[in-house]
Amino acid sequence: MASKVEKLFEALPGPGSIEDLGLLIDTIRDVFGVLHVVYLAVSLGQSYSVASSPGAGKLRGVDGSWWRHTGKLGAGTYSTEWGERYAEADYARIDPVIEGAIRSFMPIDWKNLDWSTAARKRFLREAIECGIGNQGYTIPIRGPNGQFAVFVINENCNDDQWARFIEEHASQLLVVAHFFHQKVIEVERLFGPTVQPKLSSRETDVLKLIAIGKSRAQVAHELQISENTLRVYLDSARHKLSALNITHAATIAVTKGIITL
Amino acid sequence: MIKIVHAADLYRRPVLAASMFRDRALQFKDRLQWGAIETDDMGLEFDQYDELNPIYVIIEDENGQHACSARLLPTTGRTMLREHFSDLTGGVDISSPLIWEVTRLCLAPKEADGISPRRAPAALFWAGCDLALRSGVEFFVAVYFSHMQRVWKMGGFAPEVLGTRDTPDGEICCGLWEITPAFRDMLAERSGLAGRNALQYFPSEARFPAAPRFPADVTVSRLATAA
Repeated sequence: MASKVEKLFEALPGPGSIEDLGLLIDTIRDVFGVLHVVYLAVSLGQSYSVASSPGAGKLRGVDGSWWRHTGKLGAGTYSTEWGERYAEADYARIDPVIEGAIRSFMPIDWKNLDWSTAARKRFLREAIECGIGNQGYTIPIRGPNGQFAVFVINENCNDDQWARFIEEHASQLLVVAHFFHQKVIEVERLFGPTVQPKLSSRETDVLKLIAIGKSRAQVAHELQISENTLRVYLDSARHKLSALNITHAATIAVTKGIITL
Repeated sequence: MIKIVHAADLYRRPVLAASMFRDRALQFKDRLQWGAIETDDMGLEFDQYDELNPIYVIIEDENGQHACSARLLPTTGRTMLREHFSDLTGGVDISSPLIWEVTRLCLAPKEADGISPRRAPAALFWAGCDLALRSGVEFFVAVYFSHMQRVWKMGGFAPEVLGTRDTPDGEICCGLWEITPAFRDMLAERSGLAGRNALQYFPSEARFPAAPRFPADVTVSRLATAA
């Protein structure tokens, strides 16, 4: 069975603008088969400016929407109504999911959060009215200069089904969450033109050998490293190249002239 | 009890926190006499990575004081490996959401919470694995002095060594552990904690035993209908 990340890679819309990011988030939702997927950049750090226009309001993808309000950027399959309501009411202030994500780097199951205050109960009621599901999983993402974003998967199902879903997909969701954040930075050119990722010679070596079709076992043997060590080197390269998987990483590396075949 | 505590929650367990930073000073400065270790005016060892919101895995003794601990940080942010030891990984700047760094492994010379000093490393790694598996993390990396290799071997969970180097304080290694459910279960056996309810996520499991839920009437199972 192909992993969800592989399926996403095949269906990747190739984002070039913020409208495409709305489409990308739709694709992620469909591939993982969940109710909602949402990305919210709570803080983009110091001295950023966004490339797209308009400067405020919402832009729609196909189903997914993209919104911006007082320095916060978001994309998601939540209804536009909820996105706007969230921004207007500045719910990021009281949202226990945001609070939890700020405190730690560990992904959060919404069940483990404190929903007991009056303001949070009201917030929750409104969320449900706007079609939010009963289960949630939030991945905090941090980057240089105080960048802080969250990536959310939301679904309607019982606790056992949800636990199984998370157990099966936790690693893939981590990869996709960071990938999406990197796409936002890239598409919006938040920190100027994208800089060439810096890969060590070891990373370019392993990527090149994989790209020319050698198996992992062959590469590990050739470089006299274990397959787990190889996995770690490849995964570091994948992350730095903002790629979803190793095939994707190799393609990006060739396109950018980081490796030549 | 083994507790998983986020840095932001340490203030709620001040005795546990202070005793951890004190024991770290005792181990790394007084006993091992590492050159780079600094302590504050209270004799506590707290470094720049403690300011980055790490997660601590802590074995707590019967008095609520620290016995053993380790510190976890994701390699997508600042790590000791990147900033001081990248020569140990063939120059590769290890950076991925799937890989966490383990640092400041602090061990007690005496039994605590029914965990013997010999079993404490496996107990800490068992708790760390539980956390990592919940989070989708696939590897731990750590830089340690070579004598620890014996400790890992004794515990039955020796890592793959990515590289070694001599320092004024002795030879250091970079080790790699793959995290799988089988690895976690093996550590549970080795640490003698299998079947014992020994792990607590703090404060979520301590403070909110009955987690508030969304109202049941909105529950429509899409996963169930899909399956």
